[in-house]
Amino acid sequence: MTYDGPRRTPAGLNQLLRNLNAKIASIPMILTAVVIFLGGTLWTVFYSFTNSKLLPRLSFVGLDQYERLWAAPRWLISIQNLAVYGLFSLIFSLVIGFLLAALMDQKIRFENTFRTIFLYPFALSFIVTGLVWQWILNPEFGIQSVVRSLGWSSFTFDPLYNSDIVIYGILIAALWQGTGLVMCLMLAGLRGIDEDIWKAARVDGIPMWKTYLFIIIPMMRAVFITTLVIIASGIVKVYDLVVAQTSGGPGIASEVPAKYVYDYMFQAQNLGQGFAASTMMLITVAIIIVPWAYLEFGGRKRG
Amino acid sequence: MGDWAQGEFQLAGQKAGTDYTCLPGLGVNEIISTGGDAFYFPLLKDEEKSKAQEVLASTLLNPATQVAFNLKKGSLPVRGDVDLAAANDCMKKGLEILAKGNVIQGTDQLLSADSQKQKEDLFSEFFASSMTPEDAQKRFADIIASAD
Repeated sequence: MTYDGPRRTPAGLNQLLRNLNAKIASIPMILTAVVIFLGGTLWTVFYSFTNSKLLPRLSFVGLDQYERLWAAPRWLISIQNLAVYGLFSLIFSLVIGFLLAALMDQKIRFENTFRTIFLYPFALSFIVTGLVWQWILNPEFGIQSVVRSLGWSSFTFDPLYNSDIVIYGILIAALWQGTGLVMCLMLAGLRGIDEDIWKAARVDGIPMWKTYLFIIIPMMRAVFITTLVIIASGIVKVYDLVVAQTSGGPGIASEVPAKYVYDYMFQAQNLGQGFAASTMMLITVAIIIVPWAYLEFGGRKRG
Repeated sequence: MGDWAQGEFQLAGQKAGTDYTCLPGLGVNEIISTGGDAFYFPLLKDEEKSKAQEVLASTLLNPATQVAFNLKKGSLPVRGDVDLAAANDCMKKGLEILAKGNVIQGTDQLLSADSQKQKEDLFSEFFASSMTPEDAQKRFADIIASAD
């Protein structure tokens, strides 16, 4: 280590001057990231310890906002809903997305048509999706009334009007909207797999499902991670879908954390409480992301 | 229901006192919770415009305007010295209660938006769930106790 000491300074300067244009060009993006994302986050966390009302003010109350937050039934329900929604939407959109992509990869006819159909819902905003599914799940106009008019007069399917299962009604709409994108990402991943691997597996007589499970999926690790990040960020910030479908109802049965933050910041005019809630959301994400990032990036350097 | 309900009845050609009537405090506790809109006029340099502001203000608070507007909307005039001949049954009752001073401030004035929101959350939870009235009462009391 000591022998390259004298050469270090010029090498460091060279490093700095290399690709200078690219570095200058990226300054605005770096500033945006540091000032807006990092700065805004720190500012929010800082002010969550104050009793700010309509406007931020520096009068510290310690952990009062957090105590109130974790005592609020609405917040507890929100967290519960996010956990259920998050878990199921993660599992189902990955499984359904991958299955669709695998089926699509069998050199079927009209692949483009199917791809367009499956991806189409993604072009709609969550507000439109929510509204459409609110109509479909409405017991007087939607599925329930259609099935009843076919003869099953005691058929009941009204997830949006039942506090116990309302979050699954929202989940259905989210899956309908989101799986198309997952399918496209997975399909791109599958197309990136070399044909020879398939041929080799066939020569060895490995059944197709085993090839997928033990060879193809591990090879698609990068695609899975990208998809996971996209789905996970969509889960944590889910807000407009709930607003369009149930606006938190029946009662407060389908509330989600992002809606709590918005309502308490702008309707209740209690910034402190909203900041505390959004800080908790950040911590939830960090608990998941940090260990993963450590394994993903920390591990690679060592190995 | 809000004062608009009376306006709707009016529009449907119904008459206060004969077709429908008003029971302040359900006829038991004759108390009204009041609230209203405020108009603010900026101080202007232009004489003409200041005069126009005065005309608008005096028109708004004119007893005749007050009765005509509030009959249409279904609310109460902001002043007690209006022509009772034009007033309907409900308005007369209301004005009587106002004259006695049986008034409590609206919750919009009494509670901060924050406490209001917590109250609304409690209400929507209560009406859509199997929460017992006692529990709801206790939580309502908690919200009011910590209100600011």
